Amino acid sequence: MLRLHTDRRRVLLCLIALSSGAAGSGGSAPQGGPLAVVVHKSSRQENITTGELRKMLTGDLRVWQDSSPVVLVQQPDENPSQKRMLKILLKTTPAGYNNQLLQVQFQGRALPAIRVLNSDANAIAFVWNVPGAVSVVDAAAAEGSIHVKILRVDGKLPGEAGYPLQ
Amino acid sequence: MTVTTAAERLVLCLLLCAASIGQASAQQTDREMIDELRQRLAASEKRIEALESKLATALALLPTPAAAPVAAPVAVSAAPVPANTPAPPANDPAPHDAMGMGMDNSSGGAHLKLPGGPVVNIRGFFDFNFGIGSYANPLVFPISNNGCGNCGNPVTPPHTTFQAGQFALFMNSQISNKLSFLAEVAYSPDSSNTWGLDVERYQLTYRWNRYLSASAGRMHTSIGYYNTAYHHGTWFSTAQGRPIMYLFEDSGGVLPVHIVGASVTGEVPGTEKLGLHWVAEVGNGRTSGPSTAPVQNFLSDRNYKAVNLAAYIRPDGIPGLQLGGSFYHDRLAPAGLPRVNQNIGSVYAAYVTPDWEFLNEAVLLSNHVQGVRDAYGSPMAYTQISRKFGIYRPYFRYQYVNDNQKDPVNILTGRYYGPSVGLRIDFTQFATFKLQYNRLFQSNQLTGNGLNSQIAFTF
Repeated sequence: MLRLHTDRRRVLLCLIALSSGAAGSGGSAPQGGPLAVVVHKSSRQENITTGELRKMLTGDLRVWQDSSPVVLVQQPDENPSQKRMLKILLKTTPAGYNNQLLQVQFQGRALPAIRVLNSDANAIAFVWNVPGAVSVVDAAAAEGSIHVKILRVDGKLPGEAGYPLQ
Repeated sequence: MTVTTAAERLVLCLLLCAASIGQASAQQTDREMIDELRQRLAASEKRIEALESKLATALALLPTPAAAPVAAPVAVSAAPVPANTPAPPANDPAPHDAMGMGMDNSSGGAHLKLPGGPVVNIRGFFDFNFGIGSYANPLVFPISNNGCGNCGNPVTPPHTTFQAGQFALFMNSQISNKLSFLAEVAYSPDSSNTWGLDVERYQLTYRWNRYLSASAGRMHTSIGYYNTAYHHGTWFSTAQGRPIMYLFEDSGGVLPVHIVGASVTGEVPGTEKLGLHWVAEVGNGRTSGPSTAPVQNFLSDRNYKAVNLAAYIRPDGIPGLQLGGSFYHDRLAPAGLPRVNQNIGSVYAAYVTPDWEFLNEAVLLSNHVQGVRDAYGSPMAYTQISRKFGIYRPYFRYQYVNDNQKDPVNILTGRYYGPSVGLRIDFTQFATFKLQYNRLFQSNQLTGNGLNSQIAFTF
């Protein structure tokens, strides 16, 4: 009985740990740190340029070097990581970005394939599952995950001097 | 005493045996329960893995959610989850659709999907105007010569008027991963106060890759920058009205801004940093005479097809910069005249960022009547600059159009030039108010002034 009680206690502790872990990873990551570009583990890509990221955001670049399709995993407009990413890469706001996409569509150009998920953790989980997916998330959230690959941006990793997504 | 002690010992012994048997039995029950729980846990984990894998696949196949309302589910379906892809662990929340989480769905538009069919995205545009001026709004009111031939344009009747703009419905659909269709239908009034329906664009596009895509249908000709960047939704354009040189054919424009035919375009491999693109188009040019509809949708008045070649660069190093040019050639067959070789060359430099817009274009239209020594040249150009300050965007445009008065083909002739200055106020994300003053110098006519206001929106 003592053993069973111990097992139950362990299960309970596990559940608590899981739920707190999930809540922690789903919560907002610390703001103001660098952003990281994460891709699927199987990706052969090691580096991406800011120019390529910009083109992906506007639909001008829709496939990776191995011809697999790019799936952009973004976050809601009010998400700080999303705002910072658009500010740094496109110098625009989420509203401005949406208008930009509308114009792309109206001009008959190809649109990027976009999934919107509500947290860094969910974005990372999606990238883990979908080869070809790419997301720009808070570097702190990405570094804690062993399931995705963090790309160098213009040859630099988050935290290094001159990293463009600071 | 001894007997009692022995009996006590025996009882104790029996009790101990019973207790040990009971404990062993209880331990066995615990083990069984634990084993059962383990089995259940393992089964649940397997089930969760399967569900998460299915969910990820389903998410990848779903249309893009509301926060990116215009994004199409084009390539996502081509990104299946391989069988060996690991599922997220239990403490890593599975990705889930953002819909229904209060995300932005305010950009409007409708998505129609018939069971088993492709999704049709529909978006509407409309503008409503008010103009005051000694002349009819020189940039919105259709400029025409009212049949006076080459006399220059007569004075347009003065008016102060409210003016319905274009009610444009834009539709697009991703038919397959590589095949898409778009159409733009505009319902708009003209100077006779009657409404007319025009299918302004319809375009079926097949995209092999970034280096090659082909389209067929009625498109905006790739002459210069403005004609391909802006179409019939005035909400997109900073200023009120198109530059005179890019007026639509049925508003007196002299350039063939629409082409009915086929187009191929793409990026030049190996020039990714420079962003070198090319365009080649062939189709029905504009009609040879003024008496028929200027865009030849169904029947061409000649066998000769118009050809247009364009190229532009978008260098990575200067985001927002686009430099390009084009060359258009056609051979018109006007009634009672020899054939006319029409050549249109254009060059432009455009710098467009979310804050800045600086457009500069020059076009030379040349109509060369066979057997006549000199061609009739009509130079035209404009410059436009604007800067965004929050919701406000002041802008300035100066334009110059000199359509050769002796040109036997052009409908609009004469010289038009002057400045426009205005303010665009984006009072909501999808609606804007524009106030614009135009001063237009016109050959053989009095200088025109116009103060125009416009509300333009998308829905």
